[in-house]
Amino acid sequence: MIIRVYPDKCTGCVACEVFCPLEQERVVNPALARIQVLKNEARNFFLPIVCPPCDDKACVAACPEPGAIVVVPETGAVKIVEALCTGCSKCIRACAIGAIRLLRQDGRGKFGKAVAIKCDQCGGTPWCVRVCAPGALEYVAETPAVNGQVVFERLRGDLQSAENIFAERGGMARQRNVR
Amino acid sequence: MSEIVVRVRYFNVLADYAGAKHAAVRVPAGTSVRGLLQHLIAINPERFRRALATGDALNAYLRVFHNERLVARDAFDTPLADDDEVMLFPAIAGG
Amino acid sequence: MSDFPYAGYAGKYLRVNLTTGNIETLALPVEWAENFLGGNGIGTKILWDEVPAHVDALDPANKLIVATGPLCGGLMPNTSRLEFVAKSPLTGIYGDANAGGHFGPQLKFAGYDLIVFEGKARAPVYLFIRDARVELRDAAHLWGKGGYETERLIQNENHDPEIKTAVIGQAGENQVRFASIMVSWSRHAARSGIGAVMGAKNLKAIAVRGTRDLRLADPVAHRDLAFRLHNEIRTNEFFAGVHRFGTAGLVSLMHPMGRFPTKNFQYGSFDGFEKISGETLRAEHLVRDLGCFDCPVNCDKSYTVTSGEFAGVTTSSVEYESLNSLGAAVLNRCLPAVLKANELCDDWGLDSISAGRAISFLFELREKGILAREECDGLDLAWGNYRTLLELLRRMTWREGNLGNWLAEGAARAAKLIGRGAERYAMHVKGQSIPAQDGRAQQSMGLAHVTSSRGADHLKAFPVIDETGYASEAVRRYGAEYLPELVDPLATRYKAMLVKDGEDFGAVVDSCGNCKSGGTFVMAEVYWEEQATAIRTMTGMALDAAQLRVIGERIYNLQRCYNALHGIARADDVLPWRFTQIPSPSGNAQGSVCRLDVMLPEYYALRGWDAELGLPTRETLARLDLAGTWDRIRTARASGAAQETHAQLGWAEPYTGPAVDAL
Repeated sequence: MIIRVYPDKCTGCVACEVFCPLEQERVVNPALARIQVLKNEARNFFLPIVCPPCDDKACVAACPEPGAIVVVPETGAVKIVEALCTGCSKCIRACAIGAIRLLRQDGRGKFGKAVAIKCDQCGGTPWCVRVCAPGALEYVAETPAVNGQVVFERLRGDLQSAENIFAERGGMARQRNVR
Repeated sequence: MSEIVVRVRYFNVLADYAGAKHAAVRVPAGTSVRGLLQHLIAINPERFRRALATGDALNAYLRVFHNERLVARDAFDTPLADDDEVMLFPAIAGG
Repeated sequence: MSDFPYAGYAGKYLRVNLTTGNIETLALPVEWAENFLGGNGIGTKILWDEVPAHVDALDPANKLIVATGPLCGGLMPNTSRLEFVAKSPLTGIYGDANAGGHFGPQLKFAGYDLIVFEGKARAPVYLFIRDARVELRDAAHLWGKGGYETERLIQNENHDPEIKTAVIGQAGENQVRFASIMVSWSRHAARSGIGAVMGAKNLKAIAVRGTRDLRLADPVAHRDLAFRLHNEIRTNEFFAGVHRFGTAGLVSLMHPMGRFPTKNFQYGSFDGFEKISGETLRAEHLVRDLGCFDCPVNCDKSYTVTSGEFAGVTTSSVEYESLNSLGAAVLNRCLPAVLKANELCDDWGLDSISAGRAISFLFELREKGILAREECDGLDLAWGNYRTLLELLRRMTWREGNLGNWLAEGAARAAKLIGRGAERYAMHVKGQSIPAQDGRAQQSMGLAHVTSSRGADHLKAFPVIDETGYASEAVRRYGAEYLPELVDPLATRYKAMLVKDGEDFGAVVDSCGNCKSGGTFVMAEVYWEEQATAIRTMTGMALDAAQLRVIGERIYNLQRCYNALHGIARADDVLPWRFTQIPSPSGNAQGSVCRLDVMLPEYYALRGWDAELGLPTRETLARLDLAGTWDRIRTARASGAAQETHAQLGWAEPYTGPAVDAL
């Protein structure tokens, strides 16, 4: 299954960023959301960034810890196994759309210092999709025409063309560290 | 039996659903507001019907103005006259 | 981690003394939360406790409270709302303004429930907050800039587009008495002139970025409730129309209602309504839908003008109110010009309601010959002249010339300055211009304008269910036994009940941080029971619907008490002559006048207020745990201090004498 993104329908309400961390972290804090909506409202620009996931899975290849990033068989979601994650950030650097970020927090990850966080599709019912009223997110089965790689490539293209849109706002809000 | 022409104006999403903002609708003389609405349901697409009625019952939140007067729920049997204007609104509120 | 006993709150607040530059991070008093919730309620409490009646609104001793509430930032549908409370420079009494967008939640995530600003900075500053880091910064380079540019510069110099801002434009700097505050993104806390309070304090902006956790008392129960309500709103019968057209969709509806104020309230219908309707706006100018924080409705939209005289205009939050005040109120049929005016109001920081109303007031003075041609600073004050409209917006913002200075004071104060019978045409209550409703066409709105604690306003009581008679919502909320009168806009029966209940519930909503258009009044899925459950599951505060009703009453009564210290009483609860003496000329309202004489005594009785004074009795205040307030009011009235303050409020009393010109 993949999360499909329709940036044109996004209104920037960030309901996705509100419900996601409650499932993932049991708190409300959009900064911890596994989906991040990049926005420059003055330019009418909204871009939800989330792991579809892609086919290449450069994050999995980049991870030096065996079993720290796995593909969940039931859904195909790419999941970080927190107990094994050292917080080394190699997966974060490998992801071309910035769908993985580092959360530095005591008690987190293998060494109790930090953990990489990303979308795991909430085990099969992603909250971001459930609360997206404008229909900018869709949870669908992959087909040859619409697969995770296609969604990923489109997000990567949108990100590249967005650099100049963010220049006037102090740069892209693609922070690799959560705080 | 003679006919009358009623000027119907669709507003808000009803205009989208009907695909028009105005319609000159020909109905038999003596047709009531309710009769006109049933006629409009019959001639418009399905989603227009869904906005106006649930099954055979007209939705309580539908707003109808007959010659710029709000038609009360118990006055839907008021007969229409030739060249009357009927304005139709879905549920909207807020200011 | 905060020691605050309740989840859902940040548990801390900031006190920023602009005179000394001292910033304190303080524990949020538990009794504030328990007795007043947050937002509107705590703001009122602070104003009551800390800003005496003799203080002028533009004096450094006035305080500005910027407050979130317990639901703000949470999962409930639309938890975006932020409350600004201060003594109002426009009315001289209790003032507040409320905005959606994304700033409020961000303040909460930074770890603060509210900010209290005191004193006055020596030179322009802005407050910067990033979690624990809070500092006052020089704003010399931002002073003189519009709201949009100010936000862009702040984000740019801090290298973070996720910073949210609350900024004033030039109108706030120049202390225009109805200056607004722009909140990211382009939402406006516009009424009561709170932007002028920021200007008077030399506070250009507040910028905030928050990344801290907000805990919930019962995450699963709260999410279940919130998600259910999100879905109920998305399937509510009002959703499609409100989502697709926003409040702009009301223009068409209010025309046949006779509730679309036209030509300074001379008419209730506008023959050019289709030129400026929500339908036309969407068809010709829509760019995309915009959403406030966690809102399923997405009623805001951005618009652009692509050709003609106003090509290049881009603007959002083009609400029903603005389409009226910048359109029908001045007989402006040119929608691109309305959009241009809206863009200027937003950027310069003007309340589009009061700005448009002040201009329509001036146009009528010219029409009635009260203003001579040579007094008009070279402008053609003719109905429908949109170039004059745009030029007057500029002159009021910079207080330029005779007209600019009059307008910047708002219609009600300008009437006093001009004299010569000008007060007959200032359509206001307690100094605040009447928004785009007409009590003749919807009786409950007339009462709401009069009983609103911040002067003429629709949003305090927000009686939307009798707007055009929505029986389904009325039954859901009050039960079938009040039908049909409750939903008949021209009936007076039960309207006092509707207004009182709306004010109490609205005070709670404005204190919690959810939205009156996003499920609490429009698409009325959230009512006392749901709100109480939401607060309980979010915060852990033991609170049921009955207790919540008492809190709502307490907050609203305390606002009335604050106004009572300023001599406000029954004599001020009046509508201008047009609404009570001139039968509505058009639409469904034809022949109707607003029957305050019937509704107001009923309202006082329901409130437990003295019928002669129009003020809460000692017993009522004791019941609401506000016993001490009664003594303060009695002392202020007995000593004459209240009456003395009233004499200095600065606005002309609404004209209620014999009809001066029947139409």
